[in-house]
Amino acid sequence: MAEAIDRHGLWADLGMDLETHDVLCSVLPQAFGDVYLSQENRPEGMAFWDMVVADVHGIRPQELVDAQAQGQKVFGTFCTYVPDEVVIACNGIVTGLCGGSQFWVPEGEKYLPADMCPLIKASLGARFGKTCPFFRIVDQIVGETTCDGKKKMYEIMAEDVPMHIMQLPQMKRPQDFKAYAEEIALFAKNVEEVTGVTLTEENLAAAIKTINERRKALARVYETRKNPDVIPISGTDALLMMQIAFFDDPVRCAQMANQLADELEQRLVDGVSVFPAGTKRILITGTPMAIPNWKLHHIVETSGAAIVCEENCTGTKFFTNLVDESQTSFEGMFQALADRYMQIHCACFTPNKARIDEVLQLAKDYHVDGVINTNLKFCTTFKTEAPALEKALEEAGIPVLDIETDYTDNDAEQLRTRVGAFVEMLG
Amino acid sequence: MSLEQHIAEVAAANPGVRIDCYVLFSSHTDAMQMYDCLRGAKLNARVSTTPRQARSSCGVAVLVPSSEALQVEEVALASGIPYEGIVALPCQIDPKRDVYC
Repeated sequence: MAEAIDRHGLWADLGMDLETHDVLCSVLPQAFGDVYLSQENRPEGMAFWDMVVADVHGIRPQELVDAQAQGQKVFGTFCTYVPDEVVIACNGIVTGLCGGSQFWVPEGEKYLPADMCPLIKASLGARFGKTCPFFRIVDQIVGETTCDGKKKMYEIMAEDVPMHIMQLPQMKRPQDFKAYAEEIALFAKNVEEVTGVTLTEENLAAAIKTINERRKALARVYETRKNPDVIPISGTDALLMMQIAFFDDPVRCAQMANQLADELEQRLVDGVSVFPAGTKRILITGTPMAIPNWKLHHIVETSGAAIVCEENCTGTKFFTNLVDESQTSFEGMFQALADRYMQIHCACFTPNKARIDEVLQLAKDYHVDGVINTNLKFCTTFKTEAPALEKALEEAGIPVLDIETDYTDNDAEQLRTRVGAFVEMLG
Repeated sequence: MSLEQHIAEVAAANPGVRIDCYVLFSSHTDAMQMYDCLRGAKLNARVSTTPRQARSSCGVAVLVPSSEALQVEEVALASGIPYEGIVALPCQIDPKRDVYC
């Protein structure tokens, strides 16, 4: 055996449980190899994201620690409704924290009911189990009032780490858009206090541009997936890009996504597809897929179908719609931010018909043959709106498969059977 | 032991199994430089996690087919990019294993 790269000093300084964390480290290479390195003809541009995963608890955490040493503050978030722009404007750093591994779930269940969604349990487990450097690095966590499970989890997590909660309206009336602008203004005060940096119209405008550029770059990659004849990138690879976008530097993320988009656009010209002609095209909708949750994508794409779009937080919700850059006052910019973020159609809103309309539109735009509506176990809001979504899809003549799963491996074979039958049914 | 002998030994111990080689590094920047260098030489290099069978901790490795390993070694040595070694292993990849993390 060769000499080990030593990240243990970094992790020890962060107060991590090194022995338990090492168990997690030991399973990642095999899972990554099975899911990612088994694919053929992947875009060269994926090398960057492969590198990030290969040292996922080393490279970016070290960057964050180095930034903290220079006086920057790190904000951990769990939701696409939290406006990164405000943090970036005050020279802060945003890192997404959602837990996507079963490894963290048992630790979370020590504090939370077992019948709660695995994303929430894994997130608390990662913090309390001291087995994720990102959770140890953050100076403050930004929670939000999306689902009841997260709200109650934040109360428990707040005993261990500074926490700011954003009140997210759950209806989309004009007064709700205004209320969220006011909430963003309150968040800005909090960010100023934590960072010690004054928010100005200039730095906020610059941050809005920065995050818009990231959105445009990610959207360019997705745009190439709309081509009805050539699939230039697998859904599994696109998912990885999106998962890492949550914690990478936004400028670098845009740069790498644009480079990937250049390559994919050329693939469209050259007719280079990662799937054989005629492969059935699937849109995934539903609950988010936090890193390293690759299970469903991998099963679908090794069962004869290709995923061409994800309508979820680790997909289109993250980058669709830009923030209006024409505003120059705080009031105008806060409202512009609220207007953009309130166009995300999460199941925590009522009514939420806009999500159904969006899925129908995306199904058309991406030329899909079928939709898989996926739900993390115990996510009541997404589960409750599943029948309405399925009815709308059926009325539009789009076959749909409803899947409820979690982070465990136990149902993989059953999922393979169900997905395989669905793909076969698509013809 | 030369790389050729090492690969032959691993192949003999794993009859009928594809043998892959992992180039190991002490930093991700070296790994990415090497990846670019090998791709520039038209070799089938891929960025990979470091398998536990090759080393006891995480890190970025470059995965190459054993059939190209000797060329990889030649290019790597000529490049001057630091690397720790090349480890041959029976294929670690199984897309139907369904063991996630």
